[in-house]
Amino acid sequence: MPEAISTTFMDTDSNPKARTQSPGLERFLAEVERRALVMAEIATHSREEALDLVQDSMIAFVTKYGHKAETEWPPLFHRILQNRIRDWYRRSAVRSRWKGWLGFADDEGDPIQTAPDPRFATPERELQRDESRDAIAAALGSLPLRQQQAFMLRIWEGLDVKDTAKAMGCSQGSVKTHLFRAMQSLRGQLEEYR
Amino acid sequence: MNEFEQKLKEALDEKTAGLDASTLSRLRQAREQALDTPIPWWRTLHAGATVNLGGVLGRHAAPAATALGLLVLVSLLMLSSLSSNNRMAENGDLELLEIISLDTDLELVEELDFYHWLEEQASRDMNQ
Repeated sequence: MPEAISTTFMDTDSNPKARTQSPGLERFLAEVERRALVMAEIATHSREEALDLVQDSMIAFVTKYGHKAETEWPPLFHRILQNRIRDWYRRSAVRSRWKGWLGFADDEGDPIQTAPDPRFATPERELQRDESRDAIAAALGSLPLRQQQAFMLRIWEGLDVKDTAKAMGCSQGSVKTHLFRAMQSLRGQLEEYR
Repeated sequence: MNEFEQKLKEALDEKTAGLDASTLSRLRQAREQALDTPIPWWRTLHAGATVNLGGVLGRHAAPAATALGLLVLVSLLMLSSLSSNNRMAENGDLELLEIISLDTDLELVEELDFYHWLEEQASRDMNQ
């Protein structure tokens, strides 16, 4: 028998919290959050931006879709995340255009900021693995956003074509095209790691 | 999934597994914050949960009805001022105001046809 939830129109403090609405939400978010972060980080090349995007996405997801059936959660969550990433791309494109017009240098390529932390030095084999992992992340990061999304959702996240299309907000045919191009580009870029 | 795709997937899995403690802690905080977000009441209107409509209506019905009544009253007064040259309108307004302020049983108004039919039946029975 469904449990009655007392509600108010105005007082949001007394409204039910997401965790009480659906106990499975916490498990789902815990399961998906790391991959979501890596996806956002590869897309934005910034961990801070990625953390913000994932947090925004989680809040939007639980308030908008937490009440939906659990089977619908993966495409809905990824739809929010991918939309957030796309918005971030648009904003950053506008920002860099303004910087270009105003003659400011882009500070994202600071070599000191991007240098690896010496505390995390690893043995040679581990280093090679790291290199290959970084090369793969870099190759993915260099893909056009739609190709990147298609790859991440289909290959990594394991969504089917229909759910990927739902998450990307495009047709199933477009998903296949983007994925085909992504794989072609990755094969070309990662020849030595194949 | 072919070998190359599998390799890419594994590399991403490793990257995920290698996230540092500070990042994981921030992710957990973000999750907690999301889970503590209050859900707007209308989002809870789904099959899995029922809303205590009695409580909601009990709390808000009286002010809403008062506001609606006032709105109707003001609208009627405004309409009447537009046709103030019509002498009959004044009587009509008074009648309407009377109807609005009348403490009539709403059931009677809503089921007027039924009561009319009942009356007809009663008079027919009497004639027979």
